[in-house]
Amino acid sequence: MKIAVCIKQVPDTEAEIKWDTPKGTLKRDGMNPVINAFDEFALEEALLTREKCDGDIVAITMGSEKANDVLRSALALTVNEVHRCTDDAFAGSDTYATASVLAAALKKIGNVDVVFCGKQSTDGNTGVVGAEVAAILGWSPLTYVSKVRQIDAANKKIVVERAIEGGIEVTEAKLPAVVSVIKGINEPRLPNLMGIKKAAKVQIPQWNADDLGVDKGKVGAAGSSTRVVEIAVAPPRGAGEILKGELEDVANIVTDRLIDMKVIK
Amino acid sequence: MNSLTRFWTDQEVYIMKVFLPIIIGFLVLFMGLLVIFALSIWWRHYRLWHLGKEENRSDQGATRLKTLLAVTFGHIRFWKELYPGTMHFLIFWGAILIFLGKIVRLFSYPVGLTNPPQDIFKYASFVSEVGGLLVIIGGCMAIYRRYIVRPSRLETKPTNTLIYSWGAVLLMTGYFVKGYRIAIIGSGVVPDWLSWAPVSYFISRFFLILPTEPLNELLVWHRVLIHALPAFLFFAYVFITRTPLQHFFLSPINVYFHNLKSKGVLLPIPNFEEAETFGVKEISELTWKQLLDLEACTNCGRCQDVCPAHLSQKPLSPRRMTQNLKDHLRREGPKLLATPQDQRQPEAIMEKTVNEDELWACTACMACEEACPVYVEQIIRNIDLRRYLVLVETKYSSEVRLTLKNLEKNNNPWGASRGTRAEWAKDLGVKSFAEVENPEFLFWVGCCGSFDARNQKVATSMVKILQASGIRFGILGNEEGCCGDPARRIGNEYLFQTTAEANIGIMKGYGVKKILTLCPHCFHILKNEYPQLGGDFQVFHHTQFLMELIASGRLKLTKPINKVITYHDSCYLGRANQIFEAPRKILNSIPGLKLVEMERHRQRSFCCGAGGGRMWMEEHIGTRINQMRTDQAIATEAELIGTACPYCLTMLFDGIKEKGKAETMAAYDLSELVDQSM
Repeated sequence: MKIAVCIKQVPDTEAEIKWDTPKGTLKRDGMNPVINAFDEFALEEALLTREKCDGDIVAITMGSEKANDVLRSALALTVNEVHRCTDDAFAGSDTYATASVLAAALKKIGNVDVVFCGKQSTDGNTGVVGAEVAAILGWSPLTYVSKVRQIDAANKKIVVERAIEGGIEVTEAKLPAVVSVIKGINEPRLPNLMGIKKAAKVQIPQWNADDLGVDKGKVGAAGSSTRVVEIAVAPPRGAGEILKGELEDVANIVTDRLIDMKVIK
Repeated sequence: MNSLTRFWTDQEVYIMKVFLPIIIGFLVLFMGLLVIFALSIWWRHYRLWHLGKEENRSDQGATRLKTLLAVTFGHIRFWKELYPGTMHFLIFWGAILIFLGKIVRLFSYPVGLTNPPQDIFKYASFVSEVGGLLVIIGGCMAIYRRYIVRPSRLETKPTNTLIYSWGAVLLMTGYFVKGYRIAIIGSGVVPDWLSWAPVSYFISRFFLILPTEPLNELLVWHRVLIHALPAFLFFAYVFITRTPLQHFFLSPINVYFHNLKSKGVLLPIPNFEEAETFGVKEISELTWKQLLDLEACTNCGRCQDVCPAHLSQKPLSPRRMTQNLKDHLRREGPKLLATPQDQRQPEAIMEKTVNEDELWACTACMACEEACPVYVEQIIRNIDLRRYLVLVETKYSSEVRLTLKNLEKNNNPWGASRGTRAEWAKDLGVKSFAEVENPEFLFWVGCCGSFDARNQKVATSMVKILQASGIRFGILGNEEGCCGDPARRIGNEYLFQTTAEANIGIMKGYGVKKILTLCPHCFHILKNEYPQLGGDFQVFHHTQFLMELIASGRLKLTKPINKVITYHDSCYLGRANQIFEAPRKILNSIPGLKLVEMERHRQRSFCCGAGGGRMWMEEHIGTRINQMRTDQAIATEAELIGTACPYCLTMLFDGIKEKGKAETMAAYDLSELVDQSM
């Protein structure tokens, strides 16, 4: 079985956030880069799947040289193969452009049965790349997955539980599939020391736009079809108002206020 | 010939004609036994110990010998408990006296010191008899304790009962033999009997009722069957089987090779780059000294009686863990010795011998090592076992996982953003170390002082004191990282090493020479363990520093605190670094403060429960250790608990709340009290 994992390096949410407001991007230097927390769940799910079904895990990322660190973390966890997709042309890509790069990488790897990724990244928080990759490749998109019940490479079948509002949806789909996982699907293990040491010595292979057969015009800041036009820090919330009195009176006041604020009619 | 001369002549005749062959036979066979014994030490013990790794314990022979003599003959440490100490002292010295006397008399026959009896002969006889009495008294104390009082820490096996019974038989028959010998002479009262046979003369009077011939026979048979043979068999039993009496040679060897460094100092993994494995998985990965510890343990249980984990119903008993490991060694060791090295498949220690709950329950408080009369070491061994679990198997609870992750990502176990490490100090006018001109100290705040609300107050008090005393100090601010204690005690030696090396690099870069710490764990590790990685600094704990300030008059304490206070000795300040006086001197300098001591104080202090990385783990089993310690403080009826450690402060502060005593009791760090009083 061939299992792929898409991981992203993001700034540490614990660190101080600095914005480059005109460009609409984060000032990433000086921010402690870490592996996207949701992708750790994806990695763990891949490892658990490999333990159950036998196979190989390939981890890929799109990022600059520093992103090698997340691939090393994956190697330390005994992932079999890693690749970094990198090209100057990729800089400033929006979600669709990123997804097309990742999709090209997955095609290049070939014979992938299942792809795991985190439901969203903690910097962009758009949460769509997984589904976009599936759409581009024509693979089953399985989002908000809280549990993989069954995965059968031979019969090309996967059964998962998805966390939906108000309950759990059990879905059966055809492989290959892109499975984006939610927090809490498993408990990500930490690498053991031997793993860390071995990973430190590995030369991480790179793929650029030509290797991937990606049209440079369709990626990067120039090639993206969406663009951030403004970022603003939300104004601090004012103190609330506490209404006291009989329930009937308070209810009336609340509905009046809501009508004034045009929240309800 | 007068009756006295006849007495001694007749004695000599009997000895020469009747007993000499038996004595010679005994001695010859005994020599054989000694040879077997020596071989067994090599075969059954030395070879097993040397399955273990190398460790140099041969330094400072003179110091080691002094301790060995003090322990063996003076029984130091045994006296920490009066009853068992006395009991063992009597048995030991009684036995020594018996043998001394016997040997002297044995060799006085061939050199003609027996007839007429020279003084040395008589003294030797007297000494033996007194020795026998001492053993009887000690033995009765021991039997009473083991079989009637039955303290929970004593495990009684058939071999214990056998030894007491056999010993009793030998003592009685020994006296009886002399009694018969004296009686058979039939020469009436020997005038000076008190000087050489106080007990057996007394016994001999009872045998006089028997007629001469039967008495003669009795003497011969008794000597052979009832005394000499059992005595010989007893020696054989002690030398050949694995009886606990073997501690007579195993424990002194262990005492000689005991740890000369401070307690609680862990050792680095020598070679991270080349090492194939880390920590201890199976028995031969311990050092020879750690294997010797297992065999030297006398199963006395003093460690169990002081272990906070055991006393709070965790599955850990240091005694039992050591004994189980000893059994494991004796089981697996011979198998390993019989297999060539590359074919060995040793059983993992954590498979059946030690379980994870036991191992993680240890708070590394060193009470077990302090209490052990034969200097068995347990802390390093426990952490070695943790290192394997953490570094190789990554097998630990999710709390440990979270703590290690926080340490890796944010350089503090709280997981707080490292950029906010100096927030607590922002309005206090504290400078960073680099900005201070000619600084006297680096103030090492530590993770608790930096991030924990209660302990930030302690750090603040310390700053006020330093500023009031005009000390030039600075902090590292966001460049300060965790000292590495939680990582190291949890067993992640790699994380400790990388953190410590980073800290050392930063401090050396700033030319730091003297460090003042708030926390005893930081103190212990910076002072005693950083030198292992090249970090040599002069490190002080804030109590030492405050005591100096007060003693030199630079700090004047004028405002009274009219309360009764009890002081809690932190494990890493007290037992590990022997700092007991400084905090007490500080408390005694505060006007109005009255100090009462808890029963378990100074070296016997009871851990607050946060050490060994346990601050970052919940207690799911048994009573909470911090509540037990709080109970001990409440028992003193003090209004305040004084602490010198952020972990202890947190634990006792919580304990007071949990016990519902927050209205009447409060816990303070000593620096807060000094701040209030100055």
